[in-house]
Amino acid sequence: MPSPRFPIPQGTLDMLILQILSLEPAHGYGIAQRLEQISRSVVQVNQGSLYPALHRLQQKGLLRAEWKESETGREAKFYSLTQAGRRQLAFEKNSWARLSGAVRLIFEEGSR
Amino acid sequence: MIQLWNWFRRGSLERGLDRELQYHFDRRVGDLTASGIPEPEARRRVAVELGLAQVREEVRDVWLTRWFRDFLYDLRFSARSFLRSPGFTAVTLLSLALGIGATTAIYSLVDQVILHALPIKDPARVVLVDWDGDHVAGGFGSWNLMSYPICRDLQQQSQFFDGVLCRAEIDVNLAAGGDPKPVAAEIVSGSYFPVLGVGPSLGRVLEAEDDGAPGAGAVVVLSYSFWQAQFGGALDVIGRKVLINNHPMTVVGVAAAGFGGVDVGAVPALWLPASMYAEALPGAEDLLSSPIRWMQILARLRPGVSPAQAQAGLQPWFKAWLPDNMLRPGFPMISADRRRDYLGSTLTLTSAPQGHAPLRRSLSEPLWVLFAATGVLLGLACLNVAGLFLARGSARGRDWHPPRPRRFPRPDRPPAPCR
Repeated sequence: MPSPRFPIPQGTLDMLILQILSLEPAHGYGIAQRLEQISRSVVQVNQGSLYPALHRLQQKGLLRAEWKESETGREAKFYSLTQAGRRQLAFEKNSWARLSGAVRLIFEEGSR
Repeated sequence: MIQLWNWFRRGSLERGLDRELQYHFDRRVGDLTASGIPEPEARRRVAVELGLAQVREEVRDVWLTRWFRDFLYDLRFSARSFLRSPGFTAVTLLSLALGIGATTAIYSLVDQVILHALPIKDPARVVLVDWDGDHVAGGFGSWNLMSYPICRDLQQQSQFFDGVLCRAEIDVNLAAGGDPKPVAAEIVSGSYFPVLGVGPSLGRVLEAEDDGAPGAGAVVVLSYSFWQAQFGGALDVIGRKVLINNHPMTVVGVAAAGFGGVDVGAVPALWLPASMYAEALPGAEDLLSSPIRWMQILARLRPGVSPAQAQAGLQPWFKAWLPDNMLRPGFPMISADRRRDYLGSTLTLTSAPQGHAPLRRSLSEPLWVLFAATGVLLGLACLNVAGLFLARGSARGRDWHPPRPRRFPRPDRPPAPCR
């Protein structure tokens, strides 16, 4: 019996982070919470793996970070998308749509 | 190079990461306790969930790739261990410096004297023409001496040569508006500069017309470095009258920069045409038509002709030339035996891309030996250093283990957010 929550597929975490940040800037904990809510607890994201991903995206120039006061009044590191980040997100959405479309077609072909 | 930059600001990167993780940790604990989980239990659960040590290590791998970090740690480790024992380091450095320094010094000498081709057009085609056998005729100077007439006659052998030059090293007294002083000079045939393919950097070089009848070409060409040193690079030096051994001559040009004659061991200050032999070499007899030997002959082979081919091809001509040479005024009376030896002489051609250099001939073997010796010295220095390391290693005793390179920050620092 497989677990109801499955680990996030390799390589998709970056895309999800970019998507969440495209709505509004957020800090690491905020991103973690939103991932949890949006995926309705279907996808399991290891909270720890979020930070290496964030730093990697920042080093690639897709994210920028600044320390700002958070909703609790305490300073937190807020990430937001750069121009390059937006372009990357558009590109990844496009290729994801093509990939998932292709996978669906193959499944439908098999069940016909 | 973002990695190197990250290395230098790693302190502030670490502090930022600590703060960021601390924030996450505190918020999560806060949320869990609000939902009714007791705080110690919440802390424990969050610590497991986040896996702080692992996260830190993974983020550091983003900042600096693993091999780069390890390399920097190794570098730091060796620098530290060298600083810990300055005496040992000094001895090691000194041994290596001596070995390397000696080898480089001798190699640069070898390169200059033996390996370096002349700064002329296509030096690979230049050959030295020499006489193998009994010359009979007398001469002055040293090494590979030939007469001026044979040089001129060789120039007719255009099926083998693009041109033939002859030259001799002399000392002259030069006065340029002051007291005369001795300088090194090269007295050359009119073909000298054209055959070598060396042009002027100012004015003109010596030409065939300068080397006509005796006394016809009262002109000199200065070397570039002599012009710079003695005339301060003055542009009006062209046309100036100078006294060579008290005979007035006109400066007509300055040779190309970097060109210092065809002998690395004797750099001339100026060049004179052979037609001025009487002024340049006081007391000399009729050098232009007598068999007296006083010059070296260099020739430029035609493209595609090898020295061996030219040497073989020249012998019939030379056999015919030898009896003619005996008719020249000043050729000594000789016995029949001597005459047979003389007529059995041959010409030899050897490749001479580095020009004519008695220095090279006399030095090349000792220089190579010296070079080999410095190579051995370098080997000994390396052996010496290896011995030093070995001695230090065994002095440390058995219980010594190489320390593991530390990852930054100090691993002894407790993971801060877990408190």
